[in-house]
Amino acid sequence: MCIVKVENATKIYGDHTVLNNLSINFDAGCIHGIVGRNGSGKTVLFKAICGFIKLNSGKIWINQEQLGKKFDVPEQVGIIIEAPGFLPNYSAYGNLKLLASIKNKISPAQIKEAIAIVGLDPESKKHVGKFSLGMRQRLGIAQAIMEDPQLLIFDEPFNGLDIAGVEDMRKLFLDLKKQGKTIIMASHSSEDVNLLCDTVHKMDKGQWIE
Amino acid sequence: MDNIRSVLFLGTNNIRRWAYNPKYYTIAILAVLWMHFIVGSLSSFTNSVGVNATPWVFPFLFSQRYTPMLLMIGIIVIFSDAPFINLSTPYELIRSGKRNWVKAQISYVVFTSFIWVVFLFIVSILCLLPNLDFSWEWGKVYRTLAQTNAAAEFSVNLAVSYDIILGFTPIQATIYSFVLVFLEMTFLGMLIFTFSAVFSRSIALFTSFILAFMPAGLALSGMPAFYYFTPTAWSDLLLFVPGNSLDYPPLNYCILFLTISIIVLIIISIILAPKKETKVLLPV
Repeated sequence: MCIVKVENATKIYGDHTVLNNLSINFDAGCIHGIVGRNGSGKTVLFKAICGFIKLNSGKIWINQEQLGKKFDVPEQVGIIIEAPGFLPNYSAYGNLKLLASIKNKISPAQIKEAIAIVGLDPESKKHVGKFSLGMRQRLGIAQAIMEDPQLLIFDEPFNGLDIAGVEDMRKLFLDLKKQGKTIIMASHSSEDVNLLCDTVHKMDKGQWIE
Repeated sequence: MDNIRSVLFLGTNNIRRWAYNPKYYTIAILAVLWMHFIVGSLSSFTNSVGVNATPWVFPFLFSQRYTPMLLMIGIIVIFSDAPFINLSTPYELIRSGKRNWVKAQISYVVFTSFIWVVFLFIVSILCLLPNLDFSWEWGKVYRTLAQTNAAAEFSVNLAVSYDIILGFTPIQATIYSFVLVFLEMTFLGMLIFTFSAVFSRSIALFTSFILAFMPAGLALSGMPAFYYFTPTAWSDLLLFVPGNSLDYPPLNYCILFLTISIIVLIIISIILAPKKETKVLLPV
């Protein structure tokens, strides 16, 4: 079953076409990889799927519902797009609690579980401002998965992670897939994509390439 | 109900970020210093005559030449981050939806304006310490300053208008001032938010600075009719002194104009802002 359908998506900034009549279907329950150089349009595609940017033309469906009709941002989606702006003087738990309070659908125990799953200490009082880049990235992944969304959109999820961290997150992504989640991820690393992804799509200048 | 809770929660989230941006401390410190310069100067007079002032200094602040303009510039700087899209915004938006997120920013503008006015009110009273006595009346200090040249003799920087003392009770004057300043600040905040969200941040800030400077220009123009179109000048209670022969806008007109303008700006924001792109902007 197709969970995300992108049809003829075009996005133009000034005289620069960032997405060029792009179409793709992402099936549910799989890990989909998108590879491409910086500026190839991966992040813009993700932002369009999240409803953060408006396409010049084209349509996007999430779970058979057209984006922009019934909802302006998709529900049941966890994301990492650009570096999450956590509050530096709050702990990992404090930051996720703030985000979880928006929907108010999960318990403190579930927040702590998400933090533990990514290998951080949920009871730690250490401020996020003192976290390494890798720890912040782990926390970013925790915020994406904590509300148990069906669709996960990860833009460069392994940025800043050391070898052990990458290994942990690869295992986590495969676990999430086993649970029936759909992951769409962008990566510079063809190794990550080849190891994890069921489908791999190469992107350049806003178009798919062979 | 969940939506309202989520909107109010997100609105207060912006206030949590004040701790990480020195501009908020700077604005607060500058406001305290300015208030101390104006209100604190009363102490030389109160010490000399041995009579303490009552707490009702707030309404006089907005009849000073530069004070309203400076306090408005303060609120413009506070709201200069509008439309408040930062690195956390995508993570909030995906959970709240765009329309709720916009409503949260509107609630933030209203909260912040209220906090700013309460802050100014409290600081105005604190600046009178320790020469402060509570009374429901204006008291001798303001009456003397309004009717004599004591202010010049004792280098008091606060100009006290006898028209305000005659025209209003202290409670009336304080409530009117509070409401008018709150509405003005909310109006400016909503203008900055709406213009930033719909057009651009530079257009929003340019427009708000023009509005903040307009009262100073009006005072020089000597044309009362222009006051009808300058909402940023309406915190001055001298405009509403009963029996004022000049053709200034009446109090009801000002309150209604500001309220309707704020509502219109809120409606425009709720309709148009969700249609705009979520582009993370650098903090100011």
